[in-house]
Amino acid sequence: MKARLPFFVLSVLIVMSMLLSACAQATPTTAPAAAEPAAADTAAPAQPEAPAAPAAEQTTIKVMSFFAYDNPEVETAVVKAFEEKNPDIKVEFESVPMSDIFLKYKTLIAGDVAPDVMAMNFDNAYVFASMGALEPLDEWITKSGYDTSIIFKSTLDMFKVDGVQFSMPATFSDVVLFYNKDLFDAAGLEYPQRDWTQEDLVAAAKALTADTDGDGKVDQWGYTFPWWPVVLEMYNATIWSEDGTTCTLNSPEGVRAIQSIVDARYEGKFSPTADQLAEQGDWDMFIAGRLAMFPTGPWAVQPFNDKITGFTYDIAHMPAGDVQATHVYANSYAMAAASKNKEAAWKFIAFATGPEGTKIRQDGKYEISPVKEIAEKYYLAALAGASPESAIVFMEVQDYAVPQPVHANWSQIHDSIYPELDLALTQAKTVQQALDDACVGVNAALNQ
Amino acid sequence: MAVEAIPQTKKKITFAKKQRIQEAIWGYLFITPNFLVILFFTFIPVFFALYMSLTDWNILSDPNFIGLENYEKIFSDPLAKETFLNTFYFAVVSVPINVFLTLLLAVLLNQKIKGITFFRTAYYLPVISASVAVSLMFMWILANNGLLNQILGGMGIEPVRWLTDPKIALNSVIGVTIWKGLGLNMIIFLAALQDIPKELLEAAAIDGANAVQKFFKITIPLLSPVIFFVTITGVIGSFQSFDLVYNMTRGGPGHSTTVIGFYIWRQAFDYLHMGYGAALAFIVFAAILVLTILQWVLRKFWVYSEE
Amino acid sequence: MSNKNNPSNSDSVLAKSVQAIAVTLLMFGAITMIVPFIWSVITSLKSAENIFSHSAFWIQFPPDFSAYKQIWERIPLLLYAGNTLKVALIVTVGQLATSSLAGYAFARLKFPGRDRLFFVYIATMMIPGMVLLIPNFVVMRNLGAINTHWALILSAVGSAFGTFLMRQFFLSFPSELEDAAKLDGCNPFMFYWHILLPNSKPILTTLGLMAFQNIWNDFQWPLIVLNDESKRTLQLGLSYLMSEYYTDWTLLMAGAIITLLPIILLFFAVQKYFVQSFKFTGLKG
Repeated sequence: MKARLPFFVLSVLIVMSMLLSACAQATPTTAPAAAEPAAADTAAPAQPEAPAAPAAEQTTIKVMSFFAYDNPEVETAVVKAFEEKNPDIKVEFESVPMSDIFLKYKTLIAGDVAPDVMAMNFDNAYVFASMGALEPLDEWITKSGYDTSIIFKSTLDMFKVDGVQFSMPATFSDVVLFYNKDLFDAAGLEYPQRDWTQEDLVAAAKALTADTDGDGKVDQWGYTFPWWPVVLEMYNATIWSEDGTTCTLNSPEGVRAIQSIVDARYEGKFSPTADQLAEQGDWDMFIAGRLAMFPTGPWAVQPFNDKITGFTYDIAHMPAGDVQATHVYANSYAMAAASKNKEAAWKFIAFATGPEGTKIRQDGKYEISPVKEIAEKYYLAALAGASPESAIVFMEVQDYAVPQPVHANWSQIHDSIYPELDLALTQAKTVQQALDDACVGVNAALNQ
Repeated sequence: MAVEAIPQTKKKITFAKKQRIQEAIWGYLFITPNFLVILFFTFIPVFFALYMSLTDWNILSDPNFIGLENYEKIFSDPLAKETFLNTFYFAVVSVPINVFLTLLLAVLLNQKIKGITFFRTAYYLPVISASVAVSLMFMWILANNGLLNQILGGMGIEPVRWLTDPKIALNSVIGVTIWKGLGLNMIIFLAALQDIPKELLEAAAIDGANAVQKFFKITIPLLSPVIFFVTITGVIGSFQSFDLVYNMTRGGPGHSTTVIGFYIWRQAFDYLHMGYGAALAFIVFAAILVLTILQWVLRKFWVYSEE
Repeated sequence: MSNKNNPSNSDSVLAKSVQAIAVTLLMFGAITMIVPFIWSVITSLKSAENIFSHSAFWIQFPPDFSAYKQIWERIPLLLYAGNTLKVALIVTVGQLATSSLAGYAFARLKFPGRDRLFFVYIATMMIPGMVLLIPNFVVMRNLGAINTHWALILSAVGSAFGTFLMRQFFLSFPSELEDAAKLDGCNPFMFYWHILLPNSKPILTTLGLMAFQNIWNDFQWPLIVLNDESKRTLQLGLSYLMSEYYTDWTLLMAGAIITLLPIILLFFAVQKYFVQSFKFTGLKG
């Protein structure tokens, strides 16, 4: 008898929770089934209010994306606009956080239920393409007469593998120098200029590093470094040789590049060490007004404008190293090689990565459109006077920005490098030693 | 009743056999729901995974059969060796500490101490927290200028590089794992202690046994099936440890915290060497199997069961 | 040597000091268990700009509930919690039922192949779960359960771990009770339902809590098998709040606390089932 009571209580709770979820549901849960042509014929007769075409066969495509997943209205607006223009195509849209979406893709592909259209970032686009999971798009481009010259060439080329276009860029971003205007003013320094070199940067950074409250600890820093491959670019260093068989990270250029970070932290002391960054990351430091110069990208504009209260910031080109270089990143939409609705999938891709789709996304403040006109004309307009004043720099950077290095085994290569870098950047190893050790793993990954 | 000798014996034999068949039917019936689930969601996937281990599948395209190549690769993979060593160390350190501490805790809490609900809840809190949250918390607490080092600094101790020193990091992860797992075995032991009939303990007391004797001669033997359970699941669990490493250290610094669970993940899902990852998984399985058979065979010597 | 019937004074002083030491140790341990959570709560109630500008244990007053408000406003919290609650309850009841039945069978009922099958059960626990992720997905897909809560329920409602636990407990259940029941003409199910279960509340509660909490905190499997936003579970839903680019600590901690609270409440609710005096009903003599 007593044993029944907990079960009774539990069943009541189950019923209650079902009622709870039923009441809280705003929308119906049933996912629309992929409409087969046969079913459509026997389904509802042509409704009188259908514009233009009579009851056409409806294709359903599944689209998965991580674009603005924490702000879902943005991409769903793109989807809705597409559906309005293409009433014969229904989109099942699913938004997934970026850190998890690639695992989900892999599982779905393995289970033979790949989405028709998948959002990709640059390195995954490369991996998925080179492993044969994506549909080559060149034919679709020519067949539909899509004019690719409207897209920033560097961004378009990023998504080619061996010259074949495997996905279409939907957004781009790049690394520029964000700086705290008030700190520069207070130190009487000129803002970062277009022709700045590393010497100019170092001088300014040193002048802007200070112990403002006299407690013996630096609490204002001059500069932090971007992701290490950007630094490599600035010194003409590469990770692997042209033919892709040997690791070149431990070359003199590579050593110079990484050494510049080590020197900034331990000699010039204008850049926080790993320990100090662990206490407060550079992102938070910049927002708190404790960091004068911070390389980051357009994704920071919205959060910065929301959170920064005590000062104004602006952006400038990254100071040149041995060369003027920085990274351009981009996200894209790709078509699954296994898709059963390729035509509809292409239509979506063309829309979502074309002028109309990318403008909606850009207006929703997710990165920048890769279509030149949309970026140059509308990005600044959408900012409407908010920082950064020099937002045009984001576009100007396309002249010299390069994409990050990619490789089918990038994951392994990256894993061989960054632990060694960590040791070099904490002075646990010399830079040369760390890079030599990194090359061991890199060579193994390159020659698999 | 008829009292013919032979027919009566026949009746008895048939009756006994019928009983056994009936009991067997009940047995199979009882295990059926459970068994079905395990059949579909463990057995079948395991065979699928076994097949995977014999291919070079990269998830994104079709698999090719390559026989035992993956298994051979394991033996020439230096990182695999280091990973296995890390994992053995993990198991050997964490399991005994866990079993000992949780048993101790359970015994202590089983005394009629005031505030037992508070203690039970406090120790169970880490168990019910999501690994991600726990990892983030400890990344912050164990940071080089994090909470723990600040406390130690207040006591005049030099800061320790808990998560950034390759010689220490694995121990830190073990520490967090133990911290997170204490409550679970503790309440299992507590439930088991409840099961010990008070009458037995009272009778022993009347016979002159003191607390220590009661503990070792009555409590421990009656607890032994559960101690057995906790040890086996502890070994199995430590070999599969993944969440905390994934969220706290990603296998670093260097490869010092790369345990086999994490390594399999990395190979299968990051590097897309699904076949290799599956092969590694089966080697792990073999290792745990050997350890478990050992414990299973030895159980006859120390596990008390009313069979 | 102490008197058999009256413990001497020195005995009780020893007992009391042992108790005192025990309580101190327990207290110390309990504090280390709780401190991280206090920190989580404090952090979740801070304004974003104060996260790093003061020491970690500085308590902001008045507390800033904006992280909780954000969670409430940005995601359908009740829906996700309701989904998770529904699945967790069904799985908990299911696991308790299947594990206790199977555990009892493995412990007490004799059938051919019993011990060998049980060993295979334990063996299934030894395969690192991540390589079973894709195979499980494929099985689910073939069952047509993808994008339904059934995918979450079916794979969890039977458990080798639970069966193992139940079996070990039932092993030490006194067989006199069972024999007596048999003599009374009880079939195994009646024994299970009327005698075994009511006297196993602590372990049932323990397993129930474990099953509940595994589902409640599960992130990866719901991520893989669910597609519709309306079907999301709590942990999955919360992950959508996290920015791609930086860590919002207050939001993260608020999410962690929100996930934690219902289980703590559940834990309190079932506390009394943990204590059970075992009854030898009518067996003496």
